[in-house]
Amino acid sequence: MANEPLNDSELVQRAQEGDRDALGVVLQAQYQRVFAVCYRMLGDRSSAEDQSQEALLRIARGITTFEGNSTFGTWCHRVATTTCLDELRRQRRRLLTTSLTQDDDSDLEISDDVDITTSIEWSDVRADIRSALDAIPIEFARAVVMRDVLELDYVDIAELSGIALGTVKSRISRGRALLAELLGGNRDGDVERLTNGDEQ
Amino acid sequence: MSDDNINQVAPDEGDADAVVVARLRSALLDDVAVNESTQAQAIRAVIEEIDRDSSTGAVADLSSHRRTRSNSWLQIAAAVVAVAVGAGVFLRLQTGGDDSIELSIKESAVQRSQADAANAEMADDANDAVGGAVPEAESLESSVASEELMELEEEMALESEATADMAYEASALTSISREQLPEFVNELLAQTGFRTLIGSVCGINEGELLTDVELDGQLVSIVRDITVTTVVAINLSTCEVIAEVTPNDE
Repeated sequence: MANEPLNDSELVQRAQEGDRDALGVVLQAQYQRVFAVCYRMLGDRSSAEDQSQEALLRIARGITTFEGNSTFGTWCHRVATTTCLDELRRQRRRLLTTSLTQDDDSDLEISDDVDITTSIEWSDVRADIRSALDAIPIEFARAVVMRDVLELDYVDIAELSGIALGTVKSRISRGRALLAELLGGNRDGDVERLTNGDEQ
Repeated sequence: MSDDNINQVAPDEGDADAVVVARLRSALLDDVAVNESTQAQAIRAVIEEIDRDSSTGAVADLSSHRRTRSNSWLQIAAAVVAVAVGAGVFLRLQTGGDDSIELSIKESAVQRSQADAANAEMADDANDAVGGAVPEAESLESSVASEELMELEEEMALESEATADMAYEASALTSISREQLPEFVNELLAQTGFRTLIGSVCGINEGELLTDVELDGQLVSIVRDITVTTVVAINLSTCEVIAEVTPNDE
């Protein structure tokens, strides 16, 4: 019994108590999900690796504050999305700064409503999912992925996409219905009806 | 969950979203391959960083931060009170007022006591910090000679310098209004660099001190909870949240 492996919550508890080995095991267990979230949000492996490490550092530093109100994996997922949101905001500001320092007056029109979600794509996912996502309007697909896969808040999605909150909800609702039609196969959907009018 | 497992779930009315979500997550997250050597390197770097935090005390002690904050204000307050006390005494001596010196000093001491009542201990520290410039009533209860008067004048000069220094320290902080706060926070977050972790504080899960700032004339700390997206302007001494900002929520 002495060498019985620790379960996840025991490992987290040990890590909270300062056990570095336990912390290493916990971080290793979460790395794949953290990296995947960062990769989907940022769109390239190099940035994802950088931000994954940043997210892991936040997790390690903040692990003593984890109170078990959600699963540890959910908590780590949230830290990862927050970390990547910060990075996307920095990118947006760099983009704005660059544009505003250029001479071309037309660039002054660029504002915070620029859509920076274009890095979220799925060209590398397996064929059945890719074809379903490709079959619906890209803004619907991105909205669903941000909400249901990356678990971003509606407000964050609206900010990243540069659109109104109501439009976000509308896109997610329609996107879900379309994907259910294509992947779930249990809804009486009308693709043409659902894609008509992307209004709030 | 593998695709096969997902397909074993018989979808029924209202269950489609859960199945779709599971399939999407499986494909978009679970299937993402990681580079094992990068993973190991990242974890090693994080552990080393945490060890460095522990050894260097980079994670700030909140009580220390609170103490510093309180002392700064108390130093300024104490210096101002001290100058007022000294000036009052000096004026009475110069004008040859009817009141006794002893009474004047005691009244001033009472005023100082009232001003610092809530923080008497820290006020004493602050008094030390300004060079023990506040005249103690006990030392002046005897009759005042001209020599003592000169000492008072010297002390007043020192206090004035200390007050000026502290006023400069306060004015060195960025001063903004509440309307400017969201933009200010966004600019802070856009900057990279070391930020001080201050742990769990005032109901914040994992606080990250971005900076101190003078917000509508009030000294506050800009703190972010790294586990969520909210940034607050907070008085860390009292835990009073002065303003709350969601980044880019302008």
